[in-house]
Amino acid sequence: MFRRVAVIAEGVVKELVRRKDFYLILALLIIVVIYSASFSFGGEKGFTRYFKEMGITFTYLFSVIIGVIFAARQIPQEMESKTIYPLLAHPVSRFEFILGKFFGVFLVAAVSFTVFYSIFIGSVLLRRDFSTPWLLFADGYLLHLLLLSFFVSMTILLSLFLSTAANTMITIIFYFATNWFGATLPGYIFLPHPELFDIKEKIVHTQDVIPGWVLSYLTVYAVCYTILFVALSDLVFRKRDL
Amino acid sequence: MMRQRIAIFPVGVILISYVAAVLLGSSLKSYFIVQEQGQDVIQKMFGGLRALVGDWAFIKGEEYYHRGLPFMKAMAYHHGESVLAGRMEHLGEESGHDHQHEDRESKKDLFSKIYASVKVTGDSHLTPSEEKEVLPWFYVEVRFNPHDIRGYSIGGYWLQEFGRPEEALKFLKEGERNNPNSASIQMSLAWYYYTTRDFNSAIEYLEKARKLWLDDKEPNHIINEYMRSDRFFTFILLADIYKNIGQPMDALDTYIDLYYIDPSQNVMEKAMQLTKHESGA
Repeated sequence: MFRRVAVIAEGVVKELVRRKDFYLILALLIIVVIYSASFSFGGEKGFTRYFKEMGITFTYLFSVIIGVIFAARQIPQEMESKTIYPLLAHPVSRFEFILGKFFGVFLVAAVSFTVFYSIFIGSVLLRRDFSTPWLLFADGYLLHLLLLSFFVSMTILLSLFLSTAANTMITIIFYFATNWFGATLPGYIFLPHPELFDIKEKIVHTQDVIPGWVLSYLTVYAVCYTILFVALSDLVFRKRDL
Repeated sequence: MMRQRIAIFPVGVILISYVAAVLLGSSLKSYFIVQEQGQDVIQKMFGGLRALVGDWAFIKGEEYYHRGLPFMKAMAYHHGESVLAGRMEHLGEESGHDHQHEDRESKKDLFSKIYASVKVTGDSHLTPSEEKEVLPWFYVEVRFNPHDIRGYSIGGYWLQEFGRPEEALKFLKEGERNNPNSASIQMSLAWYYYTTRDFNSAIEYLEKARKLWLDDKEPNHIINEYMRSDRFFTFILLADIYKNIGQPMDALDTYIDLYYIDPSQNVMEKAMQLTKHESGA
């Protein structure tokens, strides 16, 4: 089973290298970083918080965009091009197919995020800003990986109902809405809280590291949602006539 | 049956997104700048979006100033109050604004504890050496929304505070060009001239601002406490200058005007003191 899942995941990862999305977004990030570093406002320069804010915002956003775009098109693309039929004719169960797609897209998003995050941290260090503790950077890395896992699994589930464009749009809106207003929405206790995985403010304003129990709690929280979304995707996909 | 049940899921997500979007709109109401009249639909759409980004930049400035903005409604005008406090201190008067650093009341439930661990929830002002960090957000605010008067006023104030008077004047003049009928910007320009001891120019701008406040037309309708503070300070500063240059009757007129448009401001005491002082002299 693991081998079959790994083969499907590998196919998704190869797509990252083949397609131009990643390179385009990477170039955009580098432009944003260089542009933010050169900013001068009112004759003043050296705005450390503003630079960190810009860098980390785009690092987070671009990795979510890559994850969501890849996740949104996986299943519809396989169905449109009819490549799903020979795939499922092999001894690959529908669950393995969904799981393979999830792991593949998650890996794509994680690799992209790792590259983006390294550029962000590198640029902060190049500006001789050593104010943010390493552990806080590590917390930001771990929590964002959890967030990617949440969004990738959610997007795969939605891709079974929505077109790629609609799915991408709704998921990105959901990402922004929860990030900006998550804790202020009434009745929001019944909905997921992906905003808890975003510690951008903490990194920008150089605050304390995240306590271990909170990290553990959020890890379990993200894993639960990921399992829920993957299980729901399997349930829906299993019942679907192809 | 199963498929029907499953089909409810995306519909639910769409409904939730719609409800969320409506709720988001209501929470932004306090920050929304009143747009100019007479715009067509497209202008309104893009103008609204631009103003939204401008407001977002203002909120970021607030967030930086307080190192976190957990409860936006409560904090919305603190920055403006701080500016007023700074100006009033300059005149040797008290504004009533409490500069004390305060921590938000922490709730005991699990969600609040986790939220407090991953977000910045404490409210403490930036140290003087770090205060310049707020500056980029005022530039972003007015670049996206050139009619954001608050961005020009507070940004101009901070540029002066950071020892950049030429930049402050350039920034405020740009604000005046984009908003020729704004009393707040006229007042900010007057404050610039007052601090550079050019009292004639200060009076000229303050008189323009006074007239605009008394006319009470767009964009000078008082829609928040920040604007009320600005209006209050216009009259107080003008009266103060008149007193100092030996024109007490003009100062008295200014106090009366302020009392006329905002009786809640306790200025009659000042007017009485001025009258007594004059009769004594």
